[in-house]
Amino acid sequence: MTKNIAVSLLFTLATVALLGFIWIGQTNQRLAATELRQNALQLEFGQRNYEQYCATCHGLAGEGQGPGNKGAPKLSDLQGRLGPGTEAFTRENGIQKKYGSLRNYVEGIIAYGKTGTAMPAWKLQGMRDDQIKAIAAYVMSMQGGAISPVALDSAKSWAATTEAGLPPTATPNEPPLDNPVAEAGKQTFNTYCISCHNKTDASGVGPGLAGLFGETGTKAFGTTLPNGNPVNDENVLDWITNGGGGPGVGPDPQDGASYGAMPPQGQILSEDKILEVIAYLKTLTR
Amino acid sequence: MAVSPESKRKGLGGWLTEVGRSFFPSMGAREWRETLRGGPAPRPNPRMRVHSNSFWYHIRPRSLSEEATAWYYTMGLGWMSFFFFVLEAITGLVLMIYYSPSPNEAYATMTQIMNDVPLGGLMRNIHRLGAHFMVAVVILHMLRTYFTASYKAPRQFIWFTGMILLFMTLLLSFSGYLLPWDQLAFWAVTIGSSMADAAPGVGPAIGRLLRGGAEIGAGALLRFYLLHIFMLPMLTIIFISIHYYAVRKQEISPIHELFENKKPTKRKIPFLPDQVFFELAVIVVLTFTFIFINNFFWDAKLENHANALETPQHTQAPWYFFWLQGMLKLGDKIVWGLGIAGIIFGALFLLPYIDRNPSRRFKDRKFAVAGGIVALIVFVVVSYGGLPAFGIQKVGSNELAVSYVPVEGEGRVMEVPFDQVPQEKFVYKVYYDATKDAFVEGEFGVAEGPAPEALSPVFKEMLLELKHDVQKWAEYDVLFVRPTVTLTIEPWLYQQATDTAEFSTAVDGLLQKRVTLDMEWTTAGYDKEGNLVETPEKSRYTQYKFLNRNGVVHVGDTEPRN
Repeated sequence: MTKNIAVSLLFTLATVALLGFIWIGQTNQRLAATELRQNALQLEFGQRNYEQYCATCHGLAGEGQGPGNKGAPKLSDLQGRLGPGTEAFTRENGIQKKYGSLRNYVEGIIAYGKTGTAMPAWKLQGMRDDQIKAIAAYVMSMQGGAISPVALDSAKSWAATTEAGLPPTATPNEPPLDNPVAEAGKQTFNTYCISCHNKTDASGVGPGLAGLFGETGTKAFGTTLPNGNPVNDENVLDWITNGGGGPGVGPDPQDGASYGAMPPQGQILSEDKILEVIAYLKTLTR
Repeated sequence: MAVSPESKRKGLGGWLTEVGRSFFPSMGAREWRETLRGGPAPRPNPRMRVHSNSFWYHIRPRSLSEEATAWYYTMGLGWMSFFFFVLEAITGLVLMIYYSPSPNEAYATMTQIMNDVPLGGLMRNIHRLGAHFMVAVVILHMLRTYFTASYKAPRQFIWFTGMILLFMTLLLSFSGYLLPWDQLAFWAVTIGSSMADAAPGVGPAIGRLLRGGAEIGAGALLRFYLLHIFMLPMLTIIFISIHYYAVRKQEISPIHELFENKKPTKRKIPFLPDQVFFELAVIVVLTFTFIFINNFFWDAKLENHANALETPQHTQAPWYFFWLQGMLKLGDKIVWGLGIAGIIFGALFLLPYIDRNPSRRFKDRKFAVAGGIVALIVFVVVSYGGLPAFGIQKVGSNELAVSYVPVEGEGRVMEVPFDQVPQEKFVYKVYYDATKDAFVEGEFGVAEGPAPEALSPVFKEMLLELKHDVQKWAEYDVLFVRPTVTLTIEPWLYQQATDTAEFSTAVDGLLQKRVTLDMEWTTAGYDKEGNLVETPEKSRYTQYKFLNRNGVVHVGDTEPRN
């Protein structure tokens, strides 16, 4: 029994000492090492997400003018254009005032988009905060000439092959439409809709919208909306305002993908804006 | 309240004595000394008084027979199961402070626990490893009970509640799997809950109830969380109480009944003070050992964030469900996964009522003991067969990609330290040479920089292994005809000095390298007669992975390595 008491006391002391050792060691090394690993994991995760969501427009290595949108800006020189010391950063109501740091600004733009450009608000499209943070971390890691020339070469060849495989999409450089209402709708479409819907037959995240108001309808759903209603101004307005989803939305007969996930846009776009988009959709032919 | 004349003290000391006595009636300092000292107790025996008046001591027997405390008999496995249960409860409570059961936050809180919370990583490690140990100890406890025939009359009910506890332990462990909300969690539980769907009739309803929807999502996470922290622990506590109450009632089965010529001993070990100090010593030693193992030798992994769109190559159940995986490979999902597994569990539950042989002697239980050993061997073999390595038709290109440059997790390339992977662009090619009828190394070396001879031995070894693996899979997978495999390493990102406000454009060494595995092989297929036919087309599969300088930090390393 005395032996047991001695063992208990000894090991209690040893346990306390061990915990103290771990505690102190953690703050110095272990936590730092874990954080390094987490940062690396975040970078890797950001990279995957970047390739999935951003590379089409901004290029695989952030070189801009990607195959999906020739107007997309370069990202690997953000620090030089918008970083500390630049006019955009320090001016009244500039990035420093509004966001505090360039990283916060990048996160904000990914989350809520940039009005008047094709940059969508990814957070409203369902992207999670950890994805946004990881992508921002990756974009920040590109700054200051950190991208190797090999990576740039490989990004170029990737862009070339992707472009060759992509369906032709309208870029912001196409000539303006005659109808001013449809032209305004085009701007809205290019900002809010184009990240999911192509102007051609090709399906993206959502179905391609060419010929929506035409005689044959879209390639994916014909002359009806996924919820079965016929395509007319009223039903399309309702569909865009309130979104799809819910029961009764069947899979696409062409490729089996489900298009019930159309998010409601009524909170983001006014009815006038949506009507302009509808006017623009009428100009898309197959 | 009865006050003994010994302590008519005033002030704080007197108050403390009063408070102490209100917990353990009429136990003063002298009685406590007598209680916790070795040797024969004085009369009236103060140890008896503690047992009858205090709840915490009342639930333990006054004394244990020497037979029951023999280490080689029970090995303390039941006690140890409870030890792990308490350990899980304590570490689980600590984790609950920081954890948030919502898909948007769960993973972030996990990284917070691992990075920012003092001792948080240790608590998580202990909780994870403790769960595995608890399952193992509970299974061993069941095996011990079976082989010593302790389930026989009058202890059938103890066995029955014990089986419920085994079931609870498995469910507790499995329900905790989903909570980190990483890829492992997501896919292991997807498989687990789809097993529920396979049950005829009520299956889909149970699956929906468990997941709160058609797929694993926010509803499932909340439900598994509530199961894990509230419902299952509550049920487990209730059944532990019943189980232990029954053990106290019937006492631990005596060991002398196992042998023909062994005499029962009358000697008793008093709980106070001998047994209590022994248990205290074991608790302290076990706790110390466990913390030690968890800090220096083991790390609970956290994979990438759960992603319903990206299925990992080999999703596997936890080890204690390997037997079920193995059985599912044997045939029909319903027959083997539910029918046979149900029969096995049912038979285990009802074992004391099936095995009517009243004798506990090994001599009289030859059939039962032999049957138990055979069942154990079958269990191990079926579990072994349940590993992803068996019985699944494999695609060579897939396997190579997964073992060298997996989309998630560590590949063979990552085992080479980051600095020993070439810094410049590097290409390595393995292809089939018809003139030699063997796989040969084609392009071998760096485009610029050191010559092949200057490569690190570890990296070279990895290349050699790749060549062997290409050969192996080309032989194994008949549709993977004459593959040409190219491994390319490219520098991708350089480290910057900082990305804070004081930004510097100086670059500081490589931060990231890209490894690309490109495979091209002749497409083949089977014709109507089942003959292998090669087509002139080529198939191609490319996958790449980034190596991060700080990518993998092994436990115990002070410096991160890749």
